[in-house]
Amino acid sequence: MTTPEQSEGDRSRDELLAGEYVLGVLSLADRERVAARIARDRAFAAIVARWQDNLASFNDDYDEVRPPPGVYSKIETAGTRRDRQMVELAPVVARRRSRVTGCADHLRVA
Amino acid sequence: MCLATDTEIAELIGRVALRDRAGLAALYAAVSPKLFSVCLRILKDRADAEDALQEIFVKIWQRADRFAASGASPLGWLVAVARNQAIDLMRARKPVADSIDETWDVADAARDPETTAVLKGEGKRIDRCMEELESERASAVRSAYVEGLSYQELADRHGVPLNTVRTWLRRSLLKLRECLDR
Repeated sequence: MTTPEQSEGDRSRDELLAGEYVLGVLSLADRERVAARIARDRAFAAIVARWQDNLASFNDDYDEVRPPPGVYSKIETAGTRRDRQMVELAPVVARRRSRVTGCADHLRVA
Repeated sequence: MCLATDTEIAELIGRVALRDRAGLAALYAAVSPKLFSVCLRILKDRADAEDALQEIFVKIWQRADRFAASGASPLGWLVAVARNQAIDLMRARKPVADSIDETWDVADAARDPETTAVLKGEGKRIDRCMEELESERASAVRSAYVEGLSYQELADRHGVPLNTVRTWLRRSLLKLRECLDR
């Protein structure tokens, strides 16, 4: 059993930890510990998701920058190497130009 | 730039979750400029940013089925995947000291159900709550997020000791949470 005080302390601690994780200030080892907890603790994952949602308006600071051509084909290659589910990704290159929706003309990736 | 709507992006993520490869290509066309920008701001190196962008889209392919249950906005979910990948890569390149206190065991704890409540759009309220922070601290919070700065980098930028900046950030987070819950 935890007392109400302890449980309040746990709550603040979790809020801080989740907030620090979402801000991104933690070390890699600490980030991995937090990520492992997110994967197994749904309540904690919800606290992290809430911070992500709360801070999402900062995403406006990221202006759009077109990546150079050729990155997408590397994604296909990398995926093929590491994830059998992506093995059949390659044929999409040929089809993409005709199938990608109209807005993609100036975003051509390959 | 192509400004796909939330609905369109959500549909594309749904197609990717169904292993639709053309869906992944269309999602890349729609959101890669935003996610590449995330990589550049955090990694500050074009080659690293391109590597990170590749990893991000492999992760999106692998994890798209988790989006629907996340309750997040589609672009918010994608940016979170991108930021996590870029920050992890940055921390691997330039290690920083661990800061989770030893006494802060990261064990699970029983919690009241309200913390699992469904997300509601709180994005607009954060601006008001940020205004309640001292401007230098608000700026530290924002640049930590946008550039993925570590405590040490924030301390260097603001010319204050590491422990001071850590205290700033933690107090600011608690103040923000208190304000957002108000």
